[in-house]
Amino acid sequence: MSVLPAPLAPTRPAFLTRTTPAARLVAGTAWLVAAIVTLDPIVPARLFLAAIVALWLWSGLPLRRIPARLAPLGFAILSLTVFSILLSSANGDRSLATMAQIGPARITGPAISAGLAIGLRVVVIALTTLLVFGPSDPTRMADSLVQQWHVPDRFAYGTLAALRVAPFMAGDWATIGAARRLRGLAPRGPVARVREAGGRLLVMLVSAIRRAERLALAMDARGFDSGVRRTHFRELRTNWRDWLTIVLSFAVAAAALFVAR
Amino acid sequence: MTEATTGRPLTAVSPPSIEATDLSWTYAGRSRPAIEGLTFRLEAGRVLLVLGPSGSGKSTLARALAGLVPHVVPGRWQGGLRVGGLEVAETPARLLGERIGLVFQDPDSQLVMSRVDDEVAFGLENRAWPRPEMVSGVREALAQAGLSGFEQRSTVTLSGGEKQRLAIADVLAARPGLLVLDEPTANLDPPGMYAVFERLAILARRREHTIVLIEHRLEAALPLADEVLLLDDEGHQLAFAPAGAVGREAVELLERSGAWVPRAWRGAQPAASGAVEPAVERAASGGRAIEAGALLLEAADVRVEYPADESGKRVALDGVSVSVRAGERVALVGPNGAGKSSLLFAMAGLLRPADGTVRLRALPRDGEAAEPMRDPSRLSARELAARIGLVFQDPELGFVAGTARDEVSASARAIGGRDGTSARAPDEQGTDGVLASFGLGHLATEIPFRLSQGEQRRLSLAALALRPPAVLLLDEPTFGLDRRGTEAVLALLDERRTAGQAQVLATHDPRLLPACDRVVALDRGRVVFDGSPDAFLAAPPYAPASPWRDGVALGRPAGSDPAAIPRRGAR
Amino acid sequence: MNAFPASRHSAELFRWRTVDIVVVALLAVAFGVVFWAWGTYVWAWGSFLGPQTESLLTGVWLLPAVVCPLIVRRPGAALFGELVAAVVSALLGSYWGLDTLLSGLLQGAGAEVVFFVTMYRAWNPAVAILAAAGAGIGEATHDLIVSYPGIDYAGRAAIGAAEIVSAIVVVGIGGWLLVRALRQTGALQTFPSGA
Repeated sequence: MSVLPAPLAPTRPAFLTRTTPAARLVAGTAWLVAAIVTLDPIVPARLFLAAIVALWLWSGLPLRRIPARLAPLGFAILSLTVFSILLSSANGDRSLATMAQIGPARITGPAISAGLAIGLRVVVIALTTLLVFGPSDPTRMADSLVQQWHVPDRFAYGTLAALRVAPFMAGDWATIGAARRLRGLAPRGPVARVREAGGRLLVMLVSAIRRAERLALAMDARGFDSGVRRTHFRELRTNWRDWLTIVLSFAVAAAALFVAR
Repeated sequence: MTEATTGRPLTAVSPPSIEATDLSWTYAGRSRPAIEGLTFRLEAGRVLLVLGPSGSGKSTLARALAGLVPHVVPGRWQGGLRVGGLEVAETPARLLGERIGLVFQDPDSQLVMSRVDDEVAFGLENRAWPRPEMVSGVREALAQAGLSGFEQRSTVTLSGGEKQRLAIADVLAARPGLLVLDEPTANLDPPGMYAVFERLAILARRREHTIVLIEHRLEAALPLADEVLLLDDEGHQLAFAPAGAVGREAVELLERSGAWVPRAWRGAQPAASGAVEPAVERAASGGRAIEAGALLLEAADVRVEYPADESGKRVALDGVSVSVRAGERVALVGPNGAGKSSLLFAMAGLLRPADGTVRLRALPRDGEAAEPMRDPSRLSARELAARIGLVFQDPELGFVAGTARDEVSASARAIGGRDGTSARAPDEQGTDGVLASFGLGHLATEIPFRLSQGEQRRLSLAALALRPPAVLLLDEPTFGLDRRGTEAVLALLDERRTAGQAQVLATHDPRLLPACDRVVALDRGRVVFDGSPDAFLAAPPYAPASPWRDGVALGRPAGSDPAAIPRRGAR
Repeated sequence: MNAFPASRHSAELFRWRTVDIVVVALLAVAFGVVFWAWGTYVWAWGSFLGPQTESLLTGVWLLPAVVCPLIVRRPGAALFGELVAAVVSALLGSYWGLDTLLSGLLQGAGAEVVFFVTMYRAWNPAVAILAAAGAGIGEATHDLIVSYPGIDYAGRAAIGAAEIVSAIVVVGIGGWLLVRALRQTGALQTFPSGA
């Protein structure tokens, strides 16, 4: 049986847990943009340090669980960095000094620095994601988007309802796989495997549609589509912490980009 | 929609009467009506129990009362249905929604939000209640459902019974006059069912709602009912009568249509031949002489853990030992979360125990030595399929082929002759013979997903018929089936058992226990009982034991004091 | 009331029913779960073999952008489906998170443009393939900026081409076949695509 990973939730109240998700989205976007507009590794390196400090002091997240959460990312970062270095356009530039020679591949200094920047960039994106999504649950995110950004509420809460069902869908997926194995289906060769995967996916989607129909009917039975403007059981308002978070994150992004080494 | 029309009934809607006049409904794309010619009048504040077999349109009636039919679901409406004087087809769905609360069968596809208080507030937000009223409304509704103190809980951590009581709180919060419940306990273990009926009994006694209840658990539901509406398998009305005065003829028609019929009504009747309960009772009293066959499956000291969340490793099974012999039918019972599914999965080699062993083997054939016991998680898919099968609660998740015929031959084709059980690939005649014997002969070329629930269940059993596995595991094999469907499944299982198959049934339905040879009871990952059904029913190893003992025959909520629960509006 | 799903007027076309919203969201969740289950080794193998090969596998991530609109046939379904899928994968522990939202937006927009051009009236394989290509272009745009900016032009052209080809094969052809198979199961009866 497959079990979805438990989301990383804050274990104590902290500065960021009292900000609204919409504000954190704005703040996080500043770092995301700063991390991807340059190939200078110093920028993501600075943002990396800032993210560590923010996670440590203000996120309320259990720090000890973060490395385990990010571990699967390690392989992707490594391969992205290595291939970015190996395939870099700078390697073809004869005016640059050769830093290393691996068989036919010639590697230059700028290639290494760009590769490091790209690897670090992914780490920064991952940590920023934690800072944006970690301090509150999806319900707060939907509340925030609807109340502060006026995202259409039927879409926001429809999505939320679907998210609640995700663990059951994971259970269905495991059940479908188990059922096929117990029927003796053991595909051999790539064609059979793709067909088998397609069959399993089809059953999964049928199950998703059936669940969605029941859920939608239950939501309509409770007036979800009544055309009345919904009120909010939990109200969210932009507060001074939000503004401080946004201003600080923009300042940090600007500093990371523009402060000379 | 202007703001002025939000018209919130912050005071309770008075219970409405219901009047159906020659009501029919045909779903879009179907030729036959789901319900046809319903005509009855239920007075305000009364409790109506709707009885009928699968396909009798019970759920359709529930949807019509809530206005989902015709306003949300497409189809053709004929005749009249008035709820509190409002003609359903001509009243905007929004107005109906404010007066009517509908509770569905499956707790996991009617809860919307992740936290209990958010969940109750969801319906109030939709109806634009002001915040202060929402806060008090949520509190009151949770109290009425017996869930005070659950406000901050995550809805995924609730038991099945708690989830269904939450669904009841959801609709009560909006203060509807009419409460419609569509098989609200079908998914629940006996304690969960007991707790739901306890709440329903209190609501029924107060007469502050008109209640329409659709239920298979008749012994629990009948005592609550003032009136009953009987439907046949084509959605026609057989009778509408006071619960205590149903005509003999109507009961016979209901029984013949394949529906469950309350024991109290059958008492005076000559029991229809083959009815499950008499059959079950025969099996229990006659005491099927069990020839202790060869050992087929043995789980020893099995421990199963799931990966950690915040609290650390979750232990699903702890030191569980169970053995199953040829020709034996074992019931596996226990509350939700006791580890039944984990044990089934471990027995089938689908998850490897952290500790302990599972071993199984094929059924020895006459005159041959039994093969050695083997670890199922090390068998190939083909070897495994020849030895053990698993029928899931939702048959759809197990379908592997595009037609019923291919579904039946799929396992045999996959297993082939490789492991020596048989060298023959299935021929079409053999496959169609199996389909015919399962009552599916006319559906050979039909797509499995398009079959009815009962047909899907039979197909999932038929799919294991050409190469019957030595051990058959079944998860809630009679879930959602009416009496006829249940009997059909049991008859098919009986035939296989006679041929030596060992069967393990995980079930919540106490009606099945007497049809089993042994009961294994789990609680929080441990075996708490392993013995005869009689011994289990005499002293269920749970606290409290009463829901398990007389889970089918209740009506007197013990220890609940209606006066202790805050009355509506009295805050 | 009282009507079988009639010919579709434009007002009705733009009106999302609850079931449309929830089914797109839940399909995206289902894809999210499947991607999560497959993700570990698909990604591991893919990234081991280098960016061009990896790009051939990325089409799978774009399935919601084409499958969702083909089922509910509502404007915005491609965009909404991809965004939800992105949110889901972020919540299921994808490490790209924020960036997934960005790529989801680009992919969904790429497919949405194609459906918009057809005025949400044509749902044939050709449109499915064009929409898939649109999603692939959106994805390639994102990946070439975010993941592979330092690589030489030939390498980047190969990666972009591989992503678009993958989108066309897996999402255009595969997605259309998937929806056809779904229709045959009878599961789409409440949607315009199931009639």
